[in-house]
Amino acid sequence: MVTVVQRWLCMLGLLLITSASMATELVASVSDNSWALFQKMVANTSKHSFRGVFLFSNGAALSAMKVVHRWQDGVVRERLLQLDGEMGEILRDGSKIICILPNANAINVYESGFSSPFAQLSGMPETLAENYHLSTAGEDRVAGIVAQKLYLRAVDAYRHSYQLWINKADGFLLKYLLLDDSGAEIERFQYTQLELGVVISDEELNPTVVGTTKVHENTALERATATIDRVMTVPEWLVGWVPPGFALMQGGLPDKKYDSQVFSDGLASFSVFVVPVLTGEGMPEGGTMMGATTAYSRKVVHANHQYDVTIVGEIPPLSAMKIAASVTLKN
Amino acid sequence: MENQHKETLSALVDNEIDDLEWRRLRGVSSDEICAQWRSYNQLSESIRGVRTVSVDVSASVSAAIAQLDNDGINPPGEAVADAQGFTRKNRLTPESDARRGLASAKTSTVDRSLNSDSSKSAWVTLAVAASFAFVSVMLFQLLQANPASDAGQSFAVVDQPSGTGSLLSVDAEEKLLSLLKKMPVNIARSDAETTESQKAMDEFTQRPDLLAKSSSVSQRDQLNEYLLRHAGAGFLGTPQGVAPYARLASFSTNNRAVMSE
Repeated sequence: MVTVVQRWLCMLGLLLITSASMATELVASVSDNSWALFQKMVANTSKHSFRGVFLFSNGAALSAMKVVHRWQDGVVRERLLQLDGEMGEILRDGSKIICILPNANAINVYESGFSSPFAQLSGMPETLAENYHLSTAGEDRVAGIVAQKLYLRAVDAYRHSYQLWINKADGFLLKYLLLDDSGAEIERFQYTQLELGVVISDEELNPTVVGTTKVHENTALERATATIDRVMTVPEWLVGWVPPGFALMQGGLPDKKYDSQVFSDGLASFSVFVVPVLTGEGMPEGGTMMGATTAYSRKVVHANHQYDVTIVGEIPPLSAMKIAASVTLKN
Repeated sequence: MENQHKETLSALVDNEIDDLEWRRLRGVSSDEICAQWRSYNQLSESIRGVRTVSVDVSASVSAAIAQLDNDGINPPGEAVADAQGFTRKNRLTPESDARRGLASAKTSTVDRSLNSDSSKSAWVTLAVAASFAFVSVMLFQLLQANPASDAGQSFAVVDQPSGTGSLLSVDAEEKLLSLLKKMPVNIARSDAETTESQKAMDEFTQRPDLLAKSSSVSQRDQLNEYLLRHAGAGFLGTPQGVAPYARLASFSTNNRAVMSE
């Protein structure tokens, strides 16, 4: 005979399953929408043409910059102009970056080799979900545009947390805050004026700073390693530890004279440089934080040659030090 | 700390603070806020106790079923009232009150009995038990979807109807963090993680400052180029648009300022 309690148990079981299913769907729906907006932002990051003014705060420094960005035929052209203090400019044309330092006393030309932004990030959301907890935080207005606020909270101490303000219509990132492990703001980026979907002429992308300048076609690293072919064979290096979720990004220009590797978890990235010390002291050992960016350098010796291992990235010192300590020779 | 300020801080936790109250709170000393903050930490611990009970769905439901055969049943409305009372009261009361409130919420569900002769009562009981199960599962799902709330973010927990925990809104969190940023409070890490992170930071700060130690032109240029190359890579590896270049421009300015000192 089926007792009342047994009937109850059966019914409760059914209700429990239904409740669990409903709750799962509810949570999944909210989460899916947030991730969908995030993915829209990632997919469209460079695929806008716009001009605007933004504030950038990196630690104690706050600066205003003007940006003109054009996406045309799959190629990005961009001009970044500092509006306060000494005037400097950064120009980007595809994978070529031209840095015009304040007072136009020098121009650095650099070929990054990275011309397809985020092509490799397509598989990142799954990894991101393991390392950041994503939640929505209502709506806000930034530069006169209604934005959806997303909060990506780091699940461990090896990365920073992010608050993003995203234009729901097209996924344009209007503002973000980077927070350290204690929750303190360490970097802020925020548009104050923005014109989206505009036509950008070639003239707008030309540098403002003109005159007699010293052009460094050969970069500091190239100069430092110019004699390397005659001196030694550069060994290959292995980065033995990276924070969970960070993966090696392929791309850039291969250089046999020094080792350069880039890792990203889809939101943050860091670069590892291993450069032989051929002349002088090379880089000093030590670390520095510039807002969200940590730079940390240590020396390693192999076969009577000294190498500088330098980590640069938007990661906490804890991560930078652990990564640097893990760099060893391959094999 | 004055009661008025406590209420303001409490309102801040609930993101129900206006500009006037916000300005008033900024005048309070950090020591007083620290003291009040500790009470919130205690509350947080008790709230985490709620989760332990609530997510143990099978055990709780079994216990409830076991009680159904023996005890009397209370009107469903009382359970709701209990839960709501707990919700509001818990905001300012420390651990003991929170635990009492929890016990009340749980007991209101558990202390039910089934009058087996009354099918109406049976349906009422079923509804109560099902509600309990639903709330438990919902809470479990929310906690699963929000692991950070389990990681010790004490201030971020506020109580909601039916005893479920939820996160403090980002607005309120930003305000609170900006207020408390000088306090040695870790909001999201276990003790082990905090220790490792703090130890690394201590070691990091004890080492020479890379920027200041890069005294030669070649060292400055090399560090600058690392930043430049990293910015180029950041274009690939992160979705923050022009931010990598803004960092670079900012660094160039700061670098020049440091070098000119």
